[in-house]
Amino acid sequence: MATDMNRIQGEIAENPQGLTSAGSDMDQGVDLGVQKLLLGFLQSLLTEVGHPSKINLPTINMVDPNNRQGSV
Amino acid sequence: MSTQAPKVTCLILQLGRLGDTLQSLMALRAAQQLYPQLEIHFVARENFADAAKRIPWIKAVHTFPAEDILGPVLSGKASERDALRDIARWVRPMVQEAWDIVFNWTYSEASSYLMGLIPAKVKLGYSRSKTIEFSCPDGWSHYIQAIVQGEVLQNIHLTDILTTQLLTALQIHVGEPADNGEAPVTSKDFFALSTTGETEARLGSRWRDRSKKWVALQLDSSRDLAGWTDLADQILIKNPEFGVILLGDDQELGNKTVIELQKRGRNLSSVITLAGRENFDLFASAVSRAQWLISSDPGSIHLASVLGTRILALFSKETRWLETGPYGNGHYVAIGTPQLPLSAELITQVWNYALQDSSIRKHITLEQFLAKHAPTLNLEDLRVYRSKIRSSGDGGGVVYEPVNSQALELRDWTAMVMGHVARAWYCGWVPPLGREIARPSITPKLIRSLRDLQESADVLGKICDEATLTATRLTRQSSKLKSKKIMRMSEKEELQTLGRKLSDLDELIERMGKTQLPLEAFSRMCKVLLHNTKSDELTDLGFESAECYRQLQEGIHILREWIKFTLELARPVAIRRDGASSLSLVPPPSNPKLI
Repeated sequence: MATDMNRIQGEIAENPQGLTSAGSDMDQGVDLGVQKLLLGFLQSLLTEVGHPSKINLPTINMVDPNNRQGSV
Repeated sequence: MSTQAPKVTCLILQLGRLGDTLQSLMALRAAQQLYPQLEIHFVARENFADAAKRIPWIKAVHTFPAEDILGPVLSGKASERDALRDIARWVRPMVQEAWDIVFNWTYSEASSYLMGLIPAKVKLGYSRSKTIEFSCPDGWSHYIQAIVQGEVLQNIHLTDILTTQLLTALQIHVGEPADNGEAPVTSKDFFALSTTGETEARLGSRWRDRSKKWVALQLDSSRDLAGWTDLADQILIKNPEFGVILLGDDQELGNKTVIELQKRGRNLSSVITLAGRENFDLFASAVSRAQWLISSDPGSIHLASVLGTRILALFSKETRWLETGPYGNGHYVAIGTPQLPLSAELITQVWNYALQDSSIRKHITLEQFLAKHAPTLNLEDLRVYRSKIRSSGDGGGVVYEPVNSQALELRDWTAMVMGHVARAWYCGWVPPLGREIARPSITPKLIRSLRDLQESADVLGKICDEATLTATRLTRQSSKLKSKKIMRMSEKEELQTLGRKLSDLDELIERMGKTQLPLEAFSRMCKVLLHNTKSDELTDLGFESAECYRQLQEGIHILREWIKFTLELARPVAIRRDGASSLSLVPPPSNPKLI
């Protein structure tokens, strides 16, 4: 976990613009997790004010028991 | 040698509105008194950050410029990519810090992504995992997600939930507090305000006259101009020792109310309007100066709570006011219904009753008071409550005690039970059960509902028993496997059968939740708990699932105890013949202890 956080810190510190410029290419790159978190934040904020995002981010149900990892 | 405790850095994410910010600050104040080594940083939306900025013990306030970032996107002047870049720049300083503890008290989907970005040793509240899956790691957050946001009724105030969550986390991760935490949290000096000059200019010499009492009215859309004018008018007529301060966002409404009062011949030296003109400092200064606030607005109610100004809160029955009502001792809550709207006369009479000295209130009930002063009012649906901070032996936190006699409805009963269940789940102990139920408040309607519920609760308990056994069997069977991938066909079939059975039982729990209001809490909690299981190993997953079902079992056991207790309490009173001519009542059952 600490390594992941260091990676996130490093990525944002090194290239915050780069994070967003790669936003359309969601399936590529080492900074995928950070991009998705930033995009998720923006998308949810826009949804809160009734303006759905145009950037495609797969939505995840807040509560879905089928999301259990390794579900039996 | 210094014995000073090492600094603990704590970040609070609160992207809600003013009321949410103030509730968070109350919880933080309690923690800061107990753990002076906390270095608290606070994240708030720019529009609602002023309250946090006026707190001297908060190290830094990070304001989120929501309007600056989202406004251009909404108006089409900037792209989402531009906004994304701005957010990345804004979040960078917080991500570069290594936090000891982060609390996400926004409890929104958006904030969970922000939480996912921030590195910390301990995180509580909604977050995101590495795979950006929604995660909710701690018990109180499960409760908020399943019960509070699941719209199941419960009676623990949100300030108490946040405080308990925070103090429990600090006790676990930082250690025992420096003292026993008896210091009061609220005070007139809660904020370091800088309004003296502005306040003087707006309010003039009347502000300095300490003999003058003020009641602040928070104008909002809950009533129209005539309604607010009537209320201010009634207050001024019945209580000439009080002046009225008009607050709220609507400047025009404030000005028109003053004009209407002038038309009715009221003395305008007793009326001040700050509506539409107050910044946070002036708002807080006015509420602090007032002896009373009458309001339906959570922001002003929490502000008055923090400042120790007494409150008469006006709510409609549908709102979740038990979670967001006034906090502290001696506040009043009046509940309006379509059958009994809160008229200006009714509000003024209830407020006048609240103004009475407590020694007088002991000898005259609200009903007697209203019968004397407003005999024409229809009081059939009237619900008035008085707030009280419980002793820690009774469970602590704020409770709203009925001031007038009223029937206990199933929804109120459910709220009490869920509060009790939450204490058992997350505090590890519970106060004696049913202490807050008054026997005369139990109606035949409630008894019928509880008898129906009793049978369903028994069935749900059995389903959870079976689910616990099945999940335990799954753990046992999977732990016997020598390999996760290679196994006998019979072993695979057995695991599949157990898995299918668990799915069927989950479905049954969900269906039971739809049959009765109080059972919905358990089906929602089941979903949340199972969603938040962490393991991807079958053995561990079975173990975690069994723990989830055990938690539900514990809650259902408490629910059944409450049903039993309430039905026993409501039993017709037995009469014992002691002698030829004397009768005596057999007392109702004493309050049993659950744990």
